[in-house]
Amino acid sequence: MVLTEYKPTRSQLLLVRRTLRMAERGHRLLKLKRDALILEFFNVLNRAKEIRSDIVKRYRVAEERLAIAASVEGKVGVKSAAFALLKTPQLELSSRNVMGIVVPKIEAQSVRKGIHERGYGIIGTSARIDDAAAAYEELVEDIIVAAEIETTMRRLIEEIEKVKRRVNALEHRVIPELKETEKFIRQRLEETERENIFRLKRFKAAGG
Amino acid sequence: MFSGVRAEMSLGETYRAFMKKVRDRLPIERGNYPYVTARVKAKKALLLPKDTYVKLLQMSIPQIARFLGEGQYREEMLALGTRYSGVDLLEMATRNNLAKVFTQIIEFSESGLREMIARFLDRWDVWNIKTILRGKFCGATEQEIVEDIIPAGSLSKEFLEELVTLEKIGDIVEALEGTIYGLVLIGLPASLGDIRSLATYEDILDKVYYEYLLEAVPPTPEPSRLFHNFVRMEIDVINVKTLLRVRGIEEILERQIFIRQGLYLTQDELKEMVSMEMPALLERLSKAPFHSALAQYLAEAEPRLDLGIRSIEKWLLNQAAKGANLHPLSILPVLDYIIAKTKEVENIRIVARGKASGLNTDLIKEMLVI
Repeated sequence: MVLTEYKPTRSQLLLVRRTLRMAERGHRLLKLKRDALILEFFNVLNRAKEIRSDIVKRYRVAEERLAIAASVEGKVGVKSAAFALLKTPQLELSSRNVMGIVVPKIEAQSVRKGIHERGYGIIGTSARIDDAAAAYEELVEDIIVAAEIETTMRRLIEEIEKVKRRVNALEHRVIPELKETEKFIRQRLEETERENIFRLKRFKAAGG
Repeated sequence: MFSGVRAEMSLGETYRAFMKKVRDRLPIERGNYPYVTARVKAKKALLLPKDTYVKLLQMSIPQIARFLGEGQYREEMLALGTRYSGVDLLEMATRNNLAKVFTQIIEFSESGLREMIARFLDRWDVWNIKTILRGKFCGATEQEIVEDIIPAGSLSKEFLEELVTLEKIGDIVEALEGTIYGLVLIGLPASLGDIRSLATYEDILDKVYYEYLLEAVPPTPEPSRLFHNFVRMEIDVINVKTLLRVRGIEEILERQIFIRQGLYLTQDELKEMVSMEMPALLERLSKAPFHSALAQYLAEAEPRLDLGIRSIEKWLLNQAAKGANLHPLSILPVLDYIIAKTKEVENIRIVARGKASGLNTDLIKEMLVI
């Protein structure tokens, strides 16, 4: 109970009432924000699920293509083709705002490459290596998108938790306490008023 | 006096040149063709028939190893059985057998025939040099590199293994001095760390091999002409495979990726075709004999490049077999056997590695060139 912090005066009552109104408005807004965040979270969750299943599918395809390439070209052939890569993918990190939450935006360059950019000889290699390389490039692209989406999702979860804690605190602690305080001050003021009236009546009776 | 010696020498040279011309023009077949073709035919009879691959696909890896160990790969399986197992054993045994058989063919052939076969098999030297360079470039261990070497060409196993032990690229290039490959690799930086990419060198090695092969074998007399034409057809197939892979990427033309002297397609035609759409490209290839093999997979709305490539490889295989039947006492039966044997080893590897990786049986079947 924070009742002792407040002096039962009219100005304090007005202050408490103003605080209460603000708390109630904040509570309403935070509830709206929480609901909107949950909605956004489910949207992101659906996209994350899609991209996850895409990654699983692409990974299977990439593994299969790699196995095919290894069976046609041999282990050293595939390994050296992989090491021949000249341009490694570049990632650019920036941020964007989703309902007040800063989420990362990842832009990747040089992930998907043409056969001439992969660094291995063309005449002596087979199309199987191209297929395996292309499959892994697609997988890496998906992983980058998944990283962005999953980080957004994590930030959303953190924010939802935070907002939920605030809503609960307002709903179950701050607003009831303020209401209690307001009630207490109001009752004390009424009590004081009654005491004053009674005192005045006693003066009047004594004077009369 | 001095001018007399010179005159004599030049006379000798003129005589030699004249005799060479006569030998080249007249249908004198230099080499023991009847013997070699008979031996090769006997060897071809030992190759796995087409339906065996269907059986292999139903077997597990140990069953495949046992099956192959009972046939022509027995010796290698027994020799390597203590050191390797599973897919590695299959791969090593089939490769060693391939190298052994090809070396045998060179050994029992003679004269001009021997020269042609040896030149043709020099492709394994290119493969081995590329494997060594790639292995060094990507940091593979000496053991890993040695396992991937197939000493079926002119360079001996001992020499190749010695190359593997050399640490600097400069030393490898120096050791190859005097060969055509040494000249190609002379531009490579001596230190491994300074090499940005092997792509250009790999492509040049392949091109130099084919150009040297065609140069070394004159287009006459008849056996040489058949050989010449077959190699040029093979160049066409390689060029078309490259074309299909790089189609639409015009930047690639900065690199010389097509091999000269194809039988049906010139380098310029191929370069023009790089930027063409598939229907136009197929139209352009319509005069080539492998057009129908390609068109059945590439004329569709969604072209199946892998199947098209496999189909053209099959076409070459059939051409070799057809040539061998038409000219039974020429070099073509030997080439037919070499190609068929190489494909057999590749097919066994595809089945074994495919099964070990858990690939679908239909998919493995699609990859086989039979």
